[in-house]
Amino acid sequence: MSEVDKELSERYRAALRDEPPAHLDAAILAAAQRAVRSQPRPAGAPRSLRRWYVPVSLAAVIMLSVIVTLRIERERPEIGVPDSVPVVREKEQKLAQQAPEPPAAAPVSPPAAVASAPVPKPASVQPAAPVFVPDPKPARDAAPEERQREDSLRSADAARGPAASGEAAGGNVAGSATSGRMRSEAREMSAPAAKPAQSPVPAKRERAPEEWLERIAELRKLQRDGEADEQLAEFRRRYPDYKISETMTERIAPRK
Amino acid sequence: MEGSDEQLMLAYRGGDAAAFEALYRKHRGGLFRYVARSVRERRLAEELFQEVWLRLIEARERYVPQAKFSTWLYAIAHNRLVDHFRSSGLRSVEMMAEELPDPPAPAAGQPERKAETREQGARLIAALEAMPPAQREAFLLHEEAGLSVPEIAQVTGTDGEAAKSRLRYAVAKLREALKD
Repeated sequence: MSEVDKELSERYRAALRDEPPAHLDAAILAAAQRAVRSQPRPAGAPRSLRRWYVPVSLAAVIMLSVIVTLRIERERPEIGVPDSVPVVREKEQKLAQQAPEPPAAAPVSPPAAVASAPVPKPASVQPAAPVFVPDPKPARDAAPEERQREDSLRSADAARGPAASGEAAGGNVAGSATSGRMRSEAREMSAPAAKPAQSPVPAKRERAPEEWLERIAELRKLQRDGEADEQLAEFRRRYPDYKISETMTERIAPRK
Repeated sequence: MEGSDEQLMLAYRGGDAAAFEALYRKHRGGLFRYVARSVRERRLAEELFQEVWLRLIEARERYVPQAKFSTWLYAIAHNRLVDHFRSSGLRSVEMMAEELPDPPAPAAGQPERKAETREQGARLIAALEAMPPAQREAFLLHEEAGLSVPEIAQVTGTDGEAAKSRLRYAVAKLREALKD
């Protein structure tokens, strides 16, 4: 706008200073306060607690994963021993023959409860075979040892050739399949906590303004003016700032 | 209470009644004059003015600051006026019989200035009433709401060129009226 318009603006403002009456101010402000008072508060914890949601959830997921992993590690020998012990021990013997000296560290002694478990022991096998004795140490300590063992077994298998692998198929493969299944179970058990919950039923779709206006136009066409008026009033309450096109305005307007 | 209109409206949406009062105090005059100049009957203007604010209160939970608050407020008012004219069987802004009260008098002790202001005010009102409703609305939205041409177009549901043209015509007519 130019300077002349500024002058016009000033003159306009000097000339027209109508204000709403005080009783109207009071009524509108009271309505605004009433609306706020009757407003339902958002459900759930107060805002100060909401900021802990994410860290607490993460901690819970991590803790659950650790517990599940530990539990699987502890339960593993009981599941795997009967099938895999003879084959693995045979491999152990071969490895022991290949190795120049036994390891310096003493094998870990099994806990009393596990040691007394009825594990079938072939006569040729030494009683203190460390491989499948349950390890009371936490999973993170046991994991490198287990990896080493698996690596050495793999290399022994490779040295023996396909025949040995076929021989092992009955027991060791079953054992590794069992441990693989357990790992996948562990993943499955921990995964849902991290995944967002998916609602099986989609949220109810809100009626689009255009769709609503079409419905009102149909009501008008059917001469159901009362309903059309009600719907139009409701529409305006729902979408007070929605621009209705000229064409639609004519279609939804009351007939004269 | 400080903050932009949008912040105030968001605060009100969140349950802060004081934020609404701050918004209301800021926009009550402009909105009232916009409505009053559009219908010219004071009692009707008061009724429509109140309804606009009630619609805003009702729609507060759906408020999203996509545009200026004043654009939203005046869009609600524009739609309410259109509804009113439609229900009255009027296709455009037709004027009612009852006149608005005279503009307030300037400070005492300036009789010449007072007479001049009154005369100018009367001429402005006459020119405003005589112009086509769309032009008058464009001028009122610019003056009372402080809206730009694109915002006027947004509120009235027209394109920018039409809004600009309407505003230009309105200003030209008012300037002409003040020259007489």
